[in-house]
Amino acid sequence: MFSGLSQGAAIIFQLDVLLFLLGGTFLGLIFGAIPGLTATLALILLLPVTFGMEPAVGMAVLGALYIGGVSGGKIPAILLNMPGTPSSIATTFDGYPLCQQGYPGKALTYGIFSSFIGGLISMIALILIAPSLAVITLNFQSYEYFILGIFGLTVVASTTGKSLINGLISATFGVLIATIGGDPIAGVTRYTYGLRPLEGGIQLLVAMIGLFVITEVFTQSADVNKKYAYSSNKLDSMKLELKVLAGQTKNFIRSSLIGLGLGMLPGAGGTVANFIAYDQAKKASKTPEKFGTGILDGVVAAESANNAVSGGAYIPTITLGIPGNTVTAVILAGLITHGVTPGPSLFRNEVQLVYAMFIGLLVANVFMFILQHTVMIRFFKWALKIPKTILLPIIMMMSIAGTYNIRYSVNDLWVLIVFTAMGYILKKSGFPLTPMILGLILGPIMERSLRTAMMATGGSVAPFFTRPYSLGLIILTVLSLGLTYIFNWIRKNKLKEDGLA
Amino acid sequence: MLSLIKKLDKNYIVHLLVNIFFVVFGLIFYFESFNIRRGFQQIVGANEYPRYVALFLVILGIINIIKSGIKYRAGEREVEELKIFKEFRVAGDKIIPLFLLLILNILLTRIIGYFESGFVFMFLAIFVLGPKTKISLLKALGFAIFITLILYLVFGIIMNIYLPPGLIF
Repeated sequence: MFSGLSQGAAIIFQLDVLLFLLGGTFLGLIFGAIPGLTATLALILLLPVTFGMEPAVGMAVLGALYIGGVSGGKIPAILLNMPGTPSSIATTFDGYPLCQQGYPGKALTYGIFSSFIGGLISMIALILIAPSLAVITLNFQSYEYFILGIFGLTVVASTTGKSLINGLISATFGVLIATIGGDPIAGVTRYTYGLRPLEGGIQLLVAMIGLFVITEVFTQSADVNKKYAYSSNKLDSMKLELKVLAGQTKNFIRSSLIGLGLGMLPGAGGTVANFIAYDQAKKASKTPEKFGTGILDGVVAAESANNAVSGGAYIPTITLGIPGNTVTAVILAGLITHGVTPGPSLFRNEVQLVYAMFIGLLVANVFMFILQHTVMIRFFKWALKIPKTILLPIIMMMSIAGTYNIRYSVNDLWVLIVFTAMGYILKKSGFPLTPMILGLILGPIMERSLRTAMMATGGSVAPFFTRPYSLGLIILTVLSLGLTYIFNWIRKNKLKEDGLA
Repeated sequence: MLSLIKKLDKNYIVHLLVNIFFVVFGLIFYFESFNIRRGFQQIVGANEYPRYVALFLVILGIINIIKSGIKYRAGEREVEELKIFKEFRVAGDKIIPLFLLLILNILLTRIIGYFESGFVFMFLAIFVLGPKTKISLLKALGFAIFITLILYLVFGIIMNIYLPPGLIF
């Protein structure tokens, strides 16, 4: 390992490579920070640029884009209540309320530090124990992935919105919409009704842009004359206080480990991690009722987890050749294009490249921390000087560009319209949208897993209850639902006693 | 019927309609699943998985309708009106035109290109969102030209993102 690290360091610590990493991180931050643009888009656009580089350098630059893209999403999440990326959705729950209370600097500072810590923990774990960790994920099969999907959906349904049943309806709706198009196993066309826009299924990014970005634009159009919550262009203090950091230590570690663990699971990970970490932070807190009102713990949990996913997601990608998420799928494509075969042999045959990627991630993490504290917030502060009457149409135009760029299809723009209308009405009627998006993400994975599992067992559901990991996840799901119901019941009774119901 | 609707609390009407939407949506997907091919040698077929999910959605929707109906009959009312009413009262004159402009933009994108239709969209959207004066009309025109050029520079030249070509760009 040490020999690999020194070889990797020799590649990365050259001026031109460091400049590439700095540029990659900055671009990733821009893409992550601007709603409508994502790390995935950044990677897809810049992948051809890396072909002219050495494979190790090219892969390190892609990693820097990833780190920047994941981290940048917190800036609009906190300042505008618009998550820049799916993995920043949970950051809005407490980040935006903090901003509204006049503490955007505080939210950003601790969010940035949380991202840094989460990334650092996951990257150190990646470097030290990657080969061993990969063995554990080999034990997860279809049964576990299906139950994990249910667990993820129930957690999100219970943590977002005021009503558990509304959350479950939203999640189920998302899972159902995800069945439109070709089925993931037999390729059977479903629910297209002959409409071309539906033949390729519902693209997650299109749904996300419609449900979160443009819906928020409509919401903000209701008060265009009101400046953004962060209106003075002077941030409150961005100093880190040791006392606060010490108080968040358990939260940092717990959330980072959740992100790392979930990031390792192919197909799950990023988006689920920030919700589960948030949920766990809420359950572990002495003041869970403050979550959602602007509490630092919520921001710390979400941001630690979402950045910790980055290290974890690399593990199945480079050890098994199975992408941990959409972004690492592009990274996998990059590896193959550079003539590198991912898998267990990578650690044997391409030691230099592997450790260069790892060290590149560490360096990008540091650059992310520096850039967000310096350039990015000023850039965003400048952006906020632009009146809403101008900023909102710009965001819509960028969203349209981002939507079109997925499949170069105008049909996706029509799907965007539908999701915008639906998202606006549902959100304003008290139905949370986050479970719907998660249903869209996890739906195909759950379907593939369930149907594969049933084929393997010949129709028996026994393995779901006899396999230890699967049973553990079922117990967690039941506990999570049960605790949420009990907590809501206690809260309602308390409100009735206080005469507030 | 109209008098009955008038007597009902408007929050309750919206909740009811949305839940009915979910139930109807679920039923459509449920019955349509019988027209979908099962797929070759599947234990849980391509038609069955969405059927179970749709059924679950219908059940949840019905439970929610019954639950809110029971609460309504018991006299429990939401203290605050739903945000949809508040926002439409304050900014319905902005939200609806903005939505229609979005549709217009997509229609025009196919005909005159992304940047050209974007210019039209930006001009009208900035005017709709701002004060309705001659000066704001001119400002909207100026900003629309400027931002369209910036977007072309960033998307079209620097990032080289492919977007529907048009008359000029």
